[in-house]
Amino acid sequence: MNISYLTLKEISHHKLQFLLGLLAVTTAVTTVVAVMFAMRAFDLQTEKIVAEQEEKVTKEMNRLENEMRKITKGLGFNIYIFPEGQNLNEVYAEGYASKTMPESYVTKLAKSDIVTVNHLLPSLTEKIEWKEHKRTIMLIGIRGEIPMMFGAPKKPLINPVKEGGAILGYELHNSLSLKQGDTITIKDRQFTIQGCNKKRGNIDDISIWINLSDAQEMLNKKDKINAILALECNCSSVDRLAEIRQELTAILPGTTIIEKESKALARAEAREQAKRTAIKQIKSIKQHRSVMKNEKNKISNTTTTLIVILAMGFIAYLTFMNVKERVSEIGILLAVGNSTPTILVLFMARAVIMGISGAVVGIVTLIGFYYIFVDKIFAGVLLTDLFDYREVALLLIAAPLLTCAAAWLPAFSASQKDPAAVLRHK
Amino acid sequence: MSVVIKDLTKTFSTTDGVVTAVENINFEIQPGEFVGVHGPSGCGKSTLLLMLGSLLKPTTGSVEINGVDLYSLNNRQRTNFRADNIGFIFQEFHLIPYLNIHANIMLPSVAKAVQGADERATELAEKFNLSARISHVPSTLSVGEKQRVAMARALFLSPKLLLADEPTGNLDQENSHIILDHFKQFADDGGIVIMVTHDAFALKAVARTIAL
Repeated sequence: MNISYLTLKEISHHKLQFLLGLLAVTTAVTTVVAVMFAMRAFDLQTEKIVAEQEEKVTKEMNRLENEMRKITKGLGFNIYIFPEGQNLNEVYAEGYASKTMPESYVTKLAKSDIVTVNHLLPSLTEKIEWKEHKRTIMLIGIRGEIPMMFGAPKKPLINPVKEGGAILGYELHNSLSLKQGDTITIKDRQFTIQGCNKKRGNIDDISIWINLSDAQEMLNKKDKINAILALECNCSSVDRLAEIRQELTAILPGTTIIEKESKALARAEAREQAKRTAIKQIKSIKQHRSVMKNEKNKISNTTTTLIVILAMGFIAYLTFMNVKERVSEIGILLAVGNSTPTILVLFMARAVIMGISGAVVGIVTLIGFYYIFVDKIFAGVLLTDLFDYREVALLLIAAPLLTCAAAWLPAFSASQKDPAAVLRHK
Repeated sequence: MSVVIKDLTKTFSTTDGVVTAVENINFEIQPGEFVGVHGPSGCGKSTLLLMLGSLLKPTTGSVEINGVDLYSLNNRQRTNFRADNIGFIFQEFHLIPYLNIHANIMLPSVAKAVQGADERATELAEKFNLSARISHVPSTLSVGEKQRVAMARALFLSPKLLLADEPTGNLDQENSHIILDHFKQFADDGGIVIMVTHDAFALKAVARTIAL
């Protein structure tokens, strides 16, 4: 006969007491594992959501990038080349550059071997008072398109304004009831209306386009221009402006280059905006999930700790009751020659069996629980993804250890009982 | 084996002051003796028995069994000595409720491994006429049977000294007679029986009495 025989016999005799202890351990283990599973399911769900979102963003970014490449390649985009030292604030505020550059710049550019620019349109623009009609207008001198010498000649996008001719913006011809063929006077100089533009909803509606040489004479800026509009610029890279800027400044050092609003630019901006929004969205999802996880952690930690403490308290109480019932047994065991450590082992063995059985029953219960609440609590995550064998092994060690810790005090008090006192009292 | 008690005194500190349970006792018992210790209630009979059984350290004096001063031994040695040499029988039997009779008889084997423990328990059950009840639990036994189980358990490790505390206190005359006969038999076989009792019938069976 040995301690394990005595322990198993005692357990089978005090079934209810042992089952109550087992229930306490099972409850604690089930709670701990359930919390572990739920938290892992939450993490996996977060990873899944973020991965899905990231995949979606990557796909969308690729789509937008490809689309932009196609647009850039097919439609090109437009840039403005301004003279050296031109303050861009002034350009944005006034609508034109105050500084000028030689008209020969455009020829120099046309003769170069750059491939990123297709069409060049030099202009001389100035805001003037149209005293004949008492209003401010934007006078724009253009000479038509300068063909690029390199590569195949392209069909001009914009036709030149003839000398002595003028094209009027919508607001001007509409308010003054002017039409093609009418004659107008600007700064004491007569022009025949060559064309009337449709409404554009911008500064073009109060602009008059005349031949560049007429403008240079009228504004006393002979052989000067203050902007070159480069149309249908083509680049393969997404950062096309930098590519063009690098190529152009090599030919016209010091010039300032900006991109004119274009469909491609709008798409690029939309793409960037979409990217920023998506990144922000992912960040927000992560943040939100992290806050949720912290809150869940707090609640589950408190609940788990409370349940484990209550379970330990209950086990301590049950062991104390067990010791109380077995005082006579302790006395006789000591009288027949057992040592106090034997008595301690007798009670601790019971706690170990209770702890291990409770852990096993708890884990099995949780697996059953998983199949019932797989969708509601565990977000449909597979059991194999939730199950960590190391944690289960740790739990199988921790449960009996905690049960032993709970049973230690009453078991120790049992081992310290004075057999003489017990037997004499009886 | 002999038992020698020298100047044995035991006092207890209580809230009402120091109480002397046993005072300056001296006696010597030789092998083969069946001794009865008697006296009025509260005279310290049970206390004396526990001191003889190495379960209660005296305040002063010594208990020598077979030349060994019990209380000069450390706890472990004293426990081993008890397992090897002393058997106990109590008025209340102290049987383990969840073990059957066979297991109760062999309970001392938890402290000291015994070869052929099962056979020894069966043999003792037969000796004490308990064979028919061997698989029963204590709650189904009569008091006489319970005391016989307690006696069989006390003899399981073949002790040289039997200490009995009011062993017939709960028994009728017939069962008392059976138990006392076994004690006599044990003494006749060279063992020592020290029985604490206030039962006049039991005292008639002993060879020598010590009054407290």
